[in-house]
Amino acid sequence: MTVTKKISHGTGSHESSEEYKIITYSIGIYEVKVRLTPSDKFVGIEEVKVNQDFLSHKQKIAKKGLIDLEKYYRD
Amino acid sequence: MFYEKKQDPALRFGDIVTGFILTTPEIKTPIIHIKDKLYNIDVNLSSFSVILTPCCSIGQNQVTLTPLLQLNIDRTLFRVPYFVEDMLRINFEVEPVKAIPPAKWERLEKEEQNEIIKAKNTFAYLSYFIYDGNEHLPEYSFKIGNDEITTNQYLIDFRRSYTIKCEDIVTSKNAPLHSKILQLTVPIRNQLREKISYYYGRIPAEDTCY
Repeated sequence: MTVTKKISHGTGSHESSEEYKIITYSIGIYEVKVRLTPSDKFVGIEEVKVNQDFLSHKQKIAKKGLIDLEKYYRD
Repeated sequence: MFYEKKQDPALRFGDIVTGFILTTPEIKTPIIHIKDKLYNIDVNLSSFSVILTPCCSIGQNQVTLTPLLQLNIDRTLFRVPYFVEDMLRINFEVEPVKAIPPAKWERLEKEEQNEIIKAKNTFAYLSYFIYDGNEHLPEYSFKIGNDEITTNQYLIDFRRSYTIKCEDIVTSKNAPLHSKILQLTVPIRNQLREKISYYYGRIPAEDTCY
């Protein structure tokens, strides 16, 4: 579980600033980011994404951002 | 635990076996014309080999194997302190920054170093899988620089796989089980399966548009 704090500023004539926190939960193959007030009152769902660890071999191989280490072992 | 204490009565993917000859054909160039018919076939009775045929496909009088090799076949392994501490780390994805020889790291530009630090975990030495020591595997010694290293860990190289026909291999269970020396545990067999799948499943840049 990870916690992030953010400050939200509304728009319009009735601006309100409210501090809230985002907590990440692992549920099955998903990671769900939930927005809560400082007193742990549910505000909403921030994001739902697939947990990378549950990707298939094919999906893992296709993901970007991998470094080719082999070149560092050649003279 | 690396090896099963109680083995299955069947040949399995990743098993260490003995008694299978190792053949290495060698040609200077592909034999297209009859005048190019120069070739050698090296035949050795390999002490130990590893089964690379997936369990469900073992049978029909043939099996794919790769020889068990000593670690000093690739001395660059010993340039990476992270692997020297524990060679088995080569078998799973690691932080790239830990898998680079320090001498190479120092010569990299800052930009490349930062890219490596931020990169995802990945496999190192893609074609290798390390087999842990066991009483059934003989010790051997070699020198790396001034250090004398004695070990009974071995490695396999996916690039050296070969197929052998064997009349006694009918199915994975109806097979010469007396040739079986060691069997991997399920988690280690999964590691081998993941790494060899990754090795064969890499998509080259020129194919990524399909």
